[in-house]
Amino acid sequence: MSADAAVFQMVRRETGGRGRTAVMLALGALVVILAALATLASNLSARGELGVINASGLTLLVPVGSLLVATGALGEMRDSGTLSYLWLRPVGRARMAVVAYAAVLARALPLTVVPMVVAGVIVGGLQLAAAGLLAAVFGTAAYTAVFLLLGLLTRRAVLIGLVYVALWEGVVAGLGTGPARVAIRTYARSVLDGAGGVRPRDAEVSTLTGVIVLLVVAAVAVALTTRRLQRLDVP
Amino acid sequence: MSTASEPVLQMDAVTKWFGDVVAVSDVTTTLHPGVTGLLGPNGAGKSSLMRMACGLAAPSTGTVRLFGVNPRSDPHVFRRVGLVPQSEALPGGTPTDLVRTAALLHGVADAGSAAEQALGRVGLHEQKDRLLRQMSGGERQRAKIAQALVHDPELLVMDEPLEGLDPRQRNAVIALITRLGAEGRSVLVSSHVLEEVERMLAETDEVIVVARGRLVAQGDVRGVRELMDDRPHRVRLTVDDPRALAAVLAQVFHVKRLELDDNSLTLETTDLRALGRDLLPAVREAGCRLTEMVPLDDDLDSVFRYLVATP
Repeated sequence: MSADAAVFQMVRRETGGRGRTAVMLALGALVVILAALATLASNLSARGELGVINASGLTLLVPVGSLLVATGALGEMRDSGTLSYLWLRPVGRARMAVVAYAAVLARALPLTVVPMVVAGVIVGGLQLAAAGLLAAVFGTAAYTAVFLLLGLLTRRAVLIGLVYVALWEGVVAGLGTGPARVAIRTYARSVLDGAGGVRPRDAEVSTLTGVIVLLVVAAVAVALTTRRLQRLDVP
Repeated sequence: MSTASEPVLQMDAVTKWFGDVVAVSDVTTTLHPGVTGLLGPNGAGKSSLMRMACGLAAPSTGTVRLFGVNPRSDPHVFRRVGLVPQSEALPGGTPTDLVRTAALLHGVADAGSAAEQALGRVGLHEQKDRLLRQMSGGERQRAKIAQALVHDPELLVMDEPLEGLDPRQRNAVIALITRLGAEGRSVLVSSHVLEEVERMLAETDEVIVVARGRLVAQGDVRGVRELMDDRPHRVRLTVDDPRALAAVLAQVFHVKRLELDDNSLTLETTDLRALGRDLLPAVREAGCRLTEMVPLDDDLDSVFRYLVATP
């Protein structure tokens, strides 16, 4: 096993808290149940089908799930005093950030992707399942990277992250295309819509733009995490 | 003491503050191979100094050089360093997980057997596969030491490594530290108990004494002890009849100087403990009332009194 694998395993273990996993499983179950209820209740249009997945999956499960997993990694290690066991090792900081991010993704992706795919199948079949898959993958990639960084910037990362998801993305971003352009949800939604075969509507972002923006956000956040690791005072 | 060898650690005018609080103030020091004791009362800035020494924290001003490089900008120097943090928090898993992970992160070739060896060295071989969070404070402390040793570092930084150990374990860890020093490694070990540190050091090893964030003394143990012992301790007593008390205290052998005031008496003694023993009988004999006793010690004296107090 290499040093990278050791970093991966260490961060992965730290993000595997029972409380967090339970909340994520509950959110995932909620997404599936809501999808089933919506299908039973009415005949949905294509846009309506996507709306169901968007409402519970993209606005709740993906951001909140990403928040719970990502803040449980480096930030919580800093808070609990175990970060020194990772930090004080001869591993380059960029590598450390990238591998920690990979460990967070490995923990978060199954918990966000599976419910989204299942909900897609229930609501509208394979194309919708594929749309749910892509939106969950790219959305989770961006959210986890941002929240991994947030965890190293503040001890109140969970609270601030929830405020961002609920107030900024939930309320402010709905008020106009300006704020919507600085919300991760807008781009994740454009991926969902595009892959689901519906013209994207939020802030008129194309699917390709959505994918690119989400990946750029992830890359920038990981780069800033590297910088933060270099400058941080480790307790 | 100084040797011709390359300094392991060099701190130059290092200051660290957190908001308005100055934790470390203008410390300049050089560490050479061997065991170095970092002594000082709790809250004196020992942990901040140690964290800056190994790179965990950046100094607010001043420079730190570890084996000649800035540890904040070159993590590869961590290959030569092992840290036993003061924090009791440990990652999840077993001692084997902890120590093996450390070996892997350091790029040790055979991580498994290196971990076995390090765990054996701290006497944790039998407990190596139990869960850390179910282990006693002493066992966890030894696991922390093992993970710091596993890659055979040239410098070990140990922040209060005897905390939470029973007397038998203390002896074992003190013996281990002595051995590490004898092997030619550098060990920087902090404590607030002078006697413990004295037992770890060889004759040529040094102690650094800090108080209120400042370095107040550095040298071999005997030198520092003498430096502190020989200093007269000044105490001001507020009494209703200073003259009468002065007359009695003048007969006490360790009281060297007496200065009288209207309602106070300032004296110098070479032996604070003896003063504590002799003062009240003297007050009784003089038939006066003592209302206040204020030590006028500078930092070094107060540190010394703190350090020699039985833990």
